[in-house]
Amino acid sequence: MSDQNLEIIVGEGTCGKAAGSLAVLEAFKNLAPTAKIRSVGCVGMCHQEVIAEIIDGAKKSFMYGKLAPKNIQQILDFHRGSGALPTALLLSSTDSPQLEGGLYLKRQTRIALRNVGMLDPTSIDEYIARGGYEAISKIIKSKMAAEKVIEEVKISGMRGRGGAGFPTHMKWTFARGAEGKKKYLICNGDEGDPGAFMDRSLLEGDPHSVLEGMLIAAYAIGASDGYAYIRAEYPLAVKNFGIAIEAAKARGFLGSKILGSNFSFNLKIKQGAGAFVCGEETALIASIEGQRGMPRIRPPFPAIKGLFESPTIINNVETLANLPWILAKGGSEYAKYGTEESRGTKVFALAGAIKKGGLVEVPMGMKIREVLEEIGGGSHDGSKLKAVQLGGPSGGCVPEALFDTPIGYATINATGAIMGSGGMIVMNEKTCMVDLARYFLEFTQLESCGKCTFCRIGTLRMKELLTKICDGEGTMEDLGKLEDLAEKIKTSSLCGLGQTAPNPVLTTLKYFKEEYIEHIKDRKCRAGVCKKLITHEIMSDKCTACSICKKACPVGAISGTPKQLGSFVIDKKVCINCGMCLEVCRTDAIRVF
Amino acid sequence: MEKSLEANVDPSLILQWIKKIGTEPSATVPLLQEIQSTYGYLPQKAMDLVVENSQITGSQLYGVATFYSQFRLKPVGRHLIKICHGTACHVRGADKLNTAITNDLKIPKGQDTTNNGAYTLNDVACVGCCSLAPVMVIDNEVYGELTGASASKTLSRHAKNSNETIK
Amino acid sequence: MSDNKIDINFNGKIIKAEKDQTILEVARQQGVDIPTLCYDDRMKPFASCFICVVEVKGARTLVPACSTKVAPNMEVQTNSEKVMSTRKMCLDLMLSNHSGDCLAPCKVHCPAATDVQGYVAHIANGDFVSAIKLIKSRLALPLVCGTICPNPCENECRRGLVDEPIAIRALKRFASEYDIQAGPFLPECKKESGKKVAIVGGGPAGLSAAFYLRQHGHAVDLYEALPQLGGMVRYGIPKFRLPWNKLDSEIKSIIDLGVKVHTNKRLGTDFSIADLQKKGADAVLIAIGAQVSKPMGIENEQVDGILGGVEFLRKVVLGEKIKHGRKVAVVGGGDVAMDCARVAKRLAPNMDVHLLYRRTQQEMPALKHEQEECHEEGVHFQFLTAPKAVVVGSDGRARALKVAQMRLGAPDASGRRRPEEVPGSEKDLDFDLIISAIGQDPEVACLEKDPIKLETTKWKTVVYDNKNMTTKVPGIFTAGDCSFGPNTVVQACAEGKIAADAISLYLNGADIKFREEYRISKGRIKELEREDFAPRFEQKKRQKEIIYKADKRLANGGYAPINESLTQIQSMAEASRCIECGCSARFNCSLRDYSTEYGACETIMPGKKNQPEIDKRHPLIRFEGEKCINCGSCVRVCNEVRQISALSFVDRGFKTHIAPNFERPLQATDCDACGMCIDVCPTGTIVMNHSKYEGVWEGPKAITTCTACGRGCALQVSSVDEKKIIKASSVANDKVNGGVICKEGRFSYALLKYKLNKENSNKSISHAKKLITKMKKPAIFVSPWLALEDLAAAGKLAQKLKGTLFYLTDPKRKGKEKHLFAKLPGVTNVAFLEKIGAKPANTKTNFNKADGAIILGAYLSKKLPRSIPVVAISNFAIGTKAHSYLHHLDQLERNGSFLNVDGVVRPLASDIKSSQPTIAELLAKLSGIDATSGISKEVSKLKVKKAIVAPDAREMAFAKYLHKMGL
Repeated sequence: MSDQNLEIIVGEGTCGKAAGSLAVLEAFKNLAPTAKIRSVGCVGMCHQEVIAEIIDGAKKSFMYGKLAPKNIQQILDFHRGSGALPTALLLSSTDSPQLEGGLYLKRQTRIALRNVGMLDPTSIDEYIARGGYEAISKIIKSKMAAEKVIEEVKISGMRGRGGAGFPTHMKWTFARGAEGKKKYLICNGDEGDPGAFMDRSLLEGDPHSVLEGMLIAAYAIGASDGYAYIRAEYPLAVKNFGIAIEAAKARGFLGSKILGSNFSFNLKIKQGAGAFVCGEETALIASIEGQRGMPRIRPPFPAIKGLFESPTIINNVETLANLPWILAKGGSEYAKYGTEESRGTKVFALAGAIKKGGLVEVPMGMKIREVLEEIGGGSHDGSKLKAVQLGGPSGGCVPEALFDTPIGYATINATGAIMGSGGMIVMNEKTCMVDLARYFLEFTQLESCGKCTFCRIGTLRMKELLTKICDGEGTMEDLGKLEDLAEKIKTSSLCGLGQTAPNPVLTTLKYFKEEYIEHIKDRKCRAGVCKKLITHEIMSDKCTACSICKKACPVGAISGTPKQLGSFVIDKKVCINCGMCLEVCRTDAIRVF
Repeated sequence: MEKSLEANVDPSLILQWIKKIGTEPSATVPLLQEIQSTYGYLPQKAMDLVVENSQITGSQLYGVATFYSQFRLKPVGRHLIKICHGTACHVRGADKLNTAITNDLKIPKGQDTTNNGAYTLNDVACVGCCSLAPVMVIDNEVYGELTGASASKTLSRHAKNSNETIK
Repeated sequence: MSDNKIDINFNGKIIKAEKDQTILEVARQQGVDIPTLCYDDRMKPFASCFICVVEVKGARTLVPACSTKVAPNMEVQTNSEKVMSTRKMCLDLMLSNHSGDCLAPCKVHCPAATDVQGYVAHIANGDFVSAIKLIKSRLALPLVCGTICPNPCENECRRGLVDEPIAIRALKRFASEYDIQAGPFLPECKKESGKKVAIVGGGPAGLSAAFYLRQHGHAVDLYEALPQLGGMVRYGIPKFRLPWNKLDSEIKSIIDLGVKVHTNKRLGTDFSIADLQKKGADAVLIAIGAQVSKPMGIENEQVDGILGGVEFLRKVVLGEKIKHGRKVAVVGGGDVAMDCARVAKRLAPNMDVHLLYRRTQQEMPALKHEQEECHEEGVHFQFLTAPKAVVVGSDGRARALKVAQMRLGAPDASGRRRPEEVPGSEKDLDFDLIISAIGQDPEVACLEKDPIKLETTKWKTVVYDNKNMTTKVPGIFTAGDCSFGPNTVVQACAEGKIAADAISLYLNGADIKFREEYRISKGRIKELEREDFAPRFEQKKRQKEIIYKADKRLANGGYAPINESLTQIQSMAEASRCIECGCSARFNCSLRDYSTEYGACETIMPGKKNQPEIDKRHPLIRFEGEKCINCGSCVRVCNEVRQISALSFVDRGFKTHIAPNFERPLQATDCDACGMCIDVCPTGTIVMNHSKYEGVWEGPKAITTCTACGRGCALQVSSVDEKKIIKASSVANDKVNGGVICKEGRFSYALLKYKLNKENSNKSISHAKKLITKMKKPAIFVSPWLALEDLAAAGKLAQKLKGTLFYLTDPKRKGKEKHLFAKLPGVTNVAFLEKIGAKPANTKTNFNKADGAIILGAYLSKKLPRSIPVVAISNFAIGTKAHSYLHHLDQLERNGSFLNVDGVVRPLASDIKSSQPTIAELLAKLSGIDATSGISKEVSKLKVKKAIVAPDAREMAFAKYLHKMGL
């Protein structure tokens, strides 16, 4: 059988690359030089990377995961008819959709992610072939009124996917009505939330969707200039989006007099230089203006007075990626998904203590449990799930008991967490909730722009109190102080960063107070995380005296003679409880208590 | 090391960038990014040239250079190691990577670069590879699903491939 | 109905407000105080401090009042419980990252809270009169305290961390002795209030109360049981330690304020409190001290030959006969015991005096130098010796003292090891006189028979409130040893002053309450590290008073003074050692005021602090980053108002701080030392860098007109006695300059000290004259920063020589703002320059046709054609080579004058001669132009809006200026 009939598609997102996709691609090219080989963005099954899909002459699809160059020959042999199906690598196929990979995708409804992993992000033709630029062409050619565009988005029920969930059409209406010689549209791709990566995946894997979304938004509000503000930490996203801009310009979708109309839109990329607070609109604007990303008081809102004092709309990447679909299929089609108050779908980034981490897009209203257990496959090590952090450092922890909460803006807010940009960090029994709260406060503290008192000093004091508790030196009075600080920082900070910084503490205090009290009263960390409250010990009955732990110990706390059973011990005075020994031990001979 | 690097700053290059990127305040971040991508950090001489030849003030430039985590005011080693401390990485034990790598590199206290100038170690907020947590990045190459031990191995492999000595 | 008026609900009241107003502006109109640390009228609201939060109904969060605009029907609450507790926490948080000493520890640890740092600075400046005035504002007996105070101030002195503490006591003594010699300073007394106060007890507390009561304007009757005033300082302190001539002068300076003195009048014997009231006393102060020695509590204590310590000292002073024999025992280890021993030593030549103390020398409470002096004078110390009983001789007198040997056991409540008796160690020691000096009690028996019943404690003190000196009986106050219990002189003086202030409040019918002001401290000296202070200061030895050798002290009866005060030179040198650790902004620190008001404290939210080094690199401006609260006012006034780039926000998160650009010295930035950052700083982070000269006193303030140039900016000046300006600052609402002053206005007074005296010789003037005469069409370059009259003269010169006047431009700025420092609203010097035909000079300007160049205070970056002659008048490098260079002093170096509140022009630092001509005067000399006439016409055109600040003083100054212009 000739390779010419084979279409080989390799996932080339950042996670794919991290897993070694370049070597896999190289192997395919070397071993099947005549096959049609393409690289695409991330399909979302990050836990299975490297992933490749092979479509054979009969248009049957086979998806393989966890690939390494050494597997390629075996796969090619099968497709050339000279070998057996490598079932261990197969994720799904046309013939066996019930396999894990198939189910992973089947449970999802991919609208924003519709093209991600399906097309070559550097090829505008592939985007067009999948219906790209139809929506904006239709709008321009039919001279659709901007109000009609806004109306369509209103019907769709779309709310900003960046975090706050403000209805997109309302924001647009303000900007549309605002006075200003020039108006700006900014795509917010400064995904600073640790634990969220949907924007990266979209910008890397389907930049044209975002670009077309920007065109629609710009058309609706009457913006002539735009910026795509993308984190510098996402070099591939910057690169692919840059290619998309050039290609769109060349095809007349971008620039002056788009598609021969009077609508012009100039778009530039601004690389964010690393500041979480720039997710805040006024800080992002300051950053583009070349200032420190320090938020200012609102009102005036950016829709009235934003970038360079002009009306400005800032839309999130995911919001924008949905727009071409909504305008192409109609707002009411989008509104069919989801619930009354939260329409459509939402992309979530599954990470943390979960088996199948990656990107999933599900209709609103799906229960958290379904996402975590049925799609995500539960805890990565089989232990019990304890909670999930929604909304990153601004969000909160939802305990397992509330996993049946249906996903929606209001329902999630009711738990004390927020939808946020869609990061879901999953925690199991090995996560200490106090340590987690401390982690988030440390993050917000470092990311605070330093302007207002409560955020600059208050978050540090909270972190210090949490550290005290983690170190077993906390008191019940500290707990009260912590709560008082949290409440006041929430109500008296200038911007969203400060106002939401206490959320992780407040929610963990709400659902896991007993863990705090254990740290204080019993000086105990049940998850075995807080280093000052735990002890590492070698169980001589399980120890095989292999000496690997001794080599791994960074402080020389382990002594023992190789092969002499029972000789290995940890000197508690020297041990820093870093856990390196536990990690390397092959016989589970190290106990933490 | 710092002095000789300062001497490397080519004024004509800086002026060229200013011409290309702009003299307006909004050019601040892109100009600094350009300087850093060439020198690996922001040499004082380069920043002075920007202030002298644009409308960007010293106050603005210094304020911005110290605000964003991307910018460095000190020279960086030949290779930059970033250990991700995103939430997923934290939950999956990113601090073990720190323990292992710090132990390997023996970086002097209060500094972030090895004495031989080979490696600079930085903690970063999140590189967006959460499903591969915990993650380490060496010179833009992402390594995922690491343990302390495998991070160590990754580093020694890297050192071998790039003819560097650790420590 | 006006469009701009809206209704809002403000603290439950419906009021009208303007549409564009912020909540803060509305509150100010309503007379409601909302605190703020980052808002200043001169700048756009920034909303960083968040202490101005208020509650707005319906808002998710509290909102900052400074930057939230009112909206129709808005409901605002400015003082709810939530708002107040949030503001308090805001302050708690700020204070938790705020370091420094609001008050120097010497003041904090002085019971009388004398402003040590202040008077020490006056002494360093050679202004001894101001020093004594400052001391006497808190302490009525500085000479007494200067001589014998145990100086708790010195124990906490931060200079001690560098090398040795400042000799504070000795400096106070120097100043007060200077005062007595110069004819003592008598403070002004308010006009008679018609109220009468009776003081019982003429000791330090009573005298001190009398001193301040007279200043409050109340009539004072002072009753003293003994023949002379002074109490314990006369009858308890031997006069070789405190000479009477000096004590008498000090008491006289109090009595001379108009105190009626009644000596030999004893309470309980000669009169009662009720009698005093009957005689018309509106208030009575009981300050009878502690005059009875504590008994030893041993057998036969009552017999002859046993005397209490204070009784012994008093008898000696009164000249009563004492049977002392040759061998005297003094029991006790305190200061009174030392004095008793030393006086006993002087009863006759070769007295054999033994001091018995039940612990070791280490535990002995007497001052170390007292112990040493006592020992040097030949007193035998017997430690670990406790009296057990008095052995009575056949004559019924004490013959010997039965004592026991002691050893030290476990520590007791005071932390000292408790002495225990060694069993079987008793022995008899023969003595002719035994003096028991183990402490004193007040003599409250005199109060028992009084119809006015004052409650007393088991320690025989009067029950009182130590915050305001009130007793349980209204109108009766108490102070000193009889209330606090036996203590130091300075403690008695302090209580006397508080009593005087409290009585005055009582007599005026006010609440007798004193508010304690918030203060932050870096900590007690033992909690600090040497490194916290030492590296910044050069080591210098402490100056010492001369103490005579023991034989000289005991010569001729031994009652001549035993030591000598510091000399003037020594005192000034010693005072200059002060490192001025107290905050120089303590009299105008908003953070401190609000912390007092809201009861905030640095210990509530403790944690890590940012403690950057103090930046003293700039000669005029000091940056104490450890005090910064990041309000950003300095950065904003610099960038936004002055459009200068000197200061940056640096880093982010908790590490965020403010520093000069690139952490360089301020002078290496665009800073032009206008010092506006000092004016807007709410905490004393940015202050003037001339420390002792500027001092830290609260002086009279006056608004005057700046004389540095002709524009007429308002200046607020603080001075010491209107004879020396210590601080000049902007006036926030000055219409002339928008509340922004320049380096000349702010610092010229200080820089006069460093005034240069470079003369331009006639030779160089004639050379310049020769060059100028040859010029046919010169290019004249001026800095737009020059004073108007200098610019006008340059214009005239250009006219005369048919040359071109160029002014230098700043490529960084655009349009109207190209030359900032519009001292008249909307009008800059450049406007004036253009009016007189000047052209901007920049790199593109062609001045090749010029046949000469005259450079006035300007720096040229562009090269001049090599061949043309150059004349420069400047005080710095001019960027090119001059054929003739005349030095001139710029405005800040020139002499000036200021107007005091009465509108009187006083010369500034009149001892400095100014022979330096201005540029205008020099130009007139060089070219023969009439530099000054007619300028006023041009200037008056620039005066677009009339100044409204302090009209008298300002108009007068302006009139004077115009007069000088020839009008």
